[in-house]
Amino acid sequence: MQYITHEKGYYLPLSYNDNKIVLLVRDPQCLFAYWEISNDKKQNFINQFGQDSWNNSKPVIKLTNSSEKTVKFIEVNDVTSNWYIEAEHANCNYSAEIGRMFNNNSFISLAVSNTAKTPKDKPSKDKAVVFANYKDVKTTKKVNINIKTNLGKYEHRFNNSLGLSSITLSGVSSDSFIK
Amino acid sequence: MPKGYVSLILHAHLPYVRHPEHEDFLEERWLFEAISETYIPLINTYQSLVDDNIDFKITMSLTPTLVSMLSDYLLQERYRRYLRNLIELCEKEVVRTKNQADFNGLSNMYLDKYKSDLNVFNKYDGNLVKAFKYFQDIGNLEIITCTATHGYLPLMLVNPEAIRAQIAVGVQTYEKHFGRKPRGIWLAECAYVPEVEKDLLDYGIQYIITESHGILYADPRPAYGTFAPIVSPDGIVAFGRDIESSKQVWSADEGYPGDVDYREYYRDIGYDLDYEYIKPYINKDGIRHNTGLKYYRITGRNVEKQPYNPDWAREKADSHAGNFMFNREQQIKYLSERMDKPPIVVCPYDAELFGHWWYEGPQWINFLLRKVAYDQDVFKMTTPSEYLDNYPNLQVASISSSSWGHQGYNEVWLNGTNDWIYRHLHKAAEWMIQLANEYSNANGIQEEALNQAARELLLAQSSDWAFIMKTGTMVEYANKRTVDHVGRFTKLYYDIRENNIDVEWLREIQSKDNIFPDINYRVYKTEL
Repeated sequence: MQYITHEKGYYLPLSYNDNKIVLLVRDPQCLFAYWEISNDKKQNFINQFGQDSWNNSKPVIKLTNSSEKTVKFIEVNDVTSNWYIEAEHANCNYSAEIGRMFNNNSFISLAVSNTAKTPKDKPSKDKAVVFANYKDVKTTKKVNINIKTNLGKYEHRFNNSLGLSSITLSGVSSDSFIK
Repeated sequence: MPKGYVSLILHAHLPYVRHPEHEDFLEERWLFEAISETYIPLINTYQSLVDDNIDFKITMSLTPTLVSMLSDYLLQERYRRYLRNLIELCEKEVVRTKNQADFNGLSNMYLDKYKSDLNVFNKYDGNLVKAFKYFQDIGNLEIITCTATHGYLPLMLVNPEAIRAQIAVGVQTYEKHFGRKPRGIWLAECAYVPEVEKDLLDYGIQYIITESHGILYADPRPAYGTFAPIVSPDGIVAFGRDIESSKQVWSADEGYPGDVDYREYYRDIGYDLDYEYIKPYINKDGIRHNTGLKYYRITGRNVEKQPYNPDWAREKADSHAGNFMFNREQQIKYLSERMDKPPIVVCPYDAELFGHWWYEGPQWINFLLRKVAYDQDVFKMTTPSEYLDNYPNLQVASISSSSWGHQGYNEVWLNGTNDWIYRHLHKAAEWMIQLANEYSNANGIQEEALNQAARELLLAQSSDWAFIMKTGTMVEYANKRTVDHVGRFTKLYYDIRENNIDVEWLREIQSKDNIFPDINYRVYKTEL
């Protein structure tokens, strides 16, 4: 049977002409940002700072760690619209701004990201043990139990070099995936 | 009283691959191979245990995409065609190998196997979901759900409604097929972030499975490590993967599946035999691929492969099952002396490891469950729900963000090979939410278009595409699926906004991407 199609090929746009930056977490030590600066935003910037201001400034990401109250600036470039950013701290809230920096180090923010929290990368120091019935953990009185456990040889650290990925990582299973 | 428990959890998943527009589509074989090599062998294993009155408990997550494919008529018919074709090939093989003693027995083994697969398939009217439902209904199998299209939630945080939709549709699909609510969910790739908890609770989910450090890095530090579930302050229970037992089965170097007597996955007559001979049994475009007929055993590294001997392999599966049981006995005895409640050792694996990659895996499960029932009394098999019913008091701790991917976080799904997809997925989700908010009273063709938009977004979000891009094989297909679904979504978005729905085209993509027939796009509304 001849299959009649009404579909043409699809393509994805290079840009949605949005003005935004989005911050994603890769792991406790690394974030990923992608951004778009809209034509209007760029024009406004030029109107405000002068004809050559875009070319005389550099694209820069301002990364704020609001948990540790630190800020750093990362110079990027005008041919990319995404960047992997080293996160110095696990378990911290980060946000990013994409903007332009002039030679005098003044930074003009063009877009502000969401907040992204880096995951923990080690066991907690807090060893308080509180028990509750899982069905009403929010409402019942929790029981503080003073237990000193020692799992002995099973008191292990997570080691993510189990080599799991060498067999199969996801449920997808086909010879096509691993050759 | 047993000193502890073991919970074997098999995560069964394949991405939604269904191409009615092609008579013969290579990637649809992923499903057919998994049915013959994993799902039917598991069903046969469960049935044989039931027939012999073995008291066993096992858990499986059956993802909504897999359940949708298993219950799809077109794919069922195509699986039957796949089987008939294989049976014909086996018949030819029996003749071709008649003077090769080492291989002729194997040809006959495959002939019997595929004929039997057809019988099992027909027994359940071509819908294997019914088989799994049966084993759940009689109390041996606990089935849990998964995010709708195996969407990777930590990379959707900028659109909370998209996370909710993945969970809601996952739960709804489960209820439709299994006639009850799921108590547990397998978050795709075990990827947990705290932000998912509210939606899980809203849709009645009690527990999740996490990678080991989801528990080990929880706060406060869980006193029992991964050997007891914890409950988050909001009420989500997490069972953490046991490291030791994982390694025994998974590890490429130390794991059981690499044993020299087991069947070699990488030698298949689809590649080994004469092109003209094999041509009718491979894809119509003439590309060689695996047929499923494999005649060699692993033998060793860098040595000539020797013929497969099913008796030796069965003995190995038996002895490996005994070894696994022995190690769990030792582990549980050791732990039970150090804990004031019975430990649970949680062993989650990809279901397709069993049978597809590790051919003898289902046999190993069969031996293991029999031995556990008869040969020891240190531990019992359990399911997460059963354990919770018996031991509802849990340590309260905040679960730690984690996944079971390489390095333990999001890198497999966010790296230089696949990071380009997220700006498009996020934009589509943003637009979907906008549509749901603005057109909440749609009906007729507009409502159909909105529902289709939701399907396209969900399909684009399958974590499988990012995963394939990372692994580097079949990348073109993963790219195309991403572009096609986002492309279809985008056209729908503009057509709906411009009140100009292209009905013929809509009918076509409805017939192609026919997953989740009962979907309601309003699940994307910001305020439900």
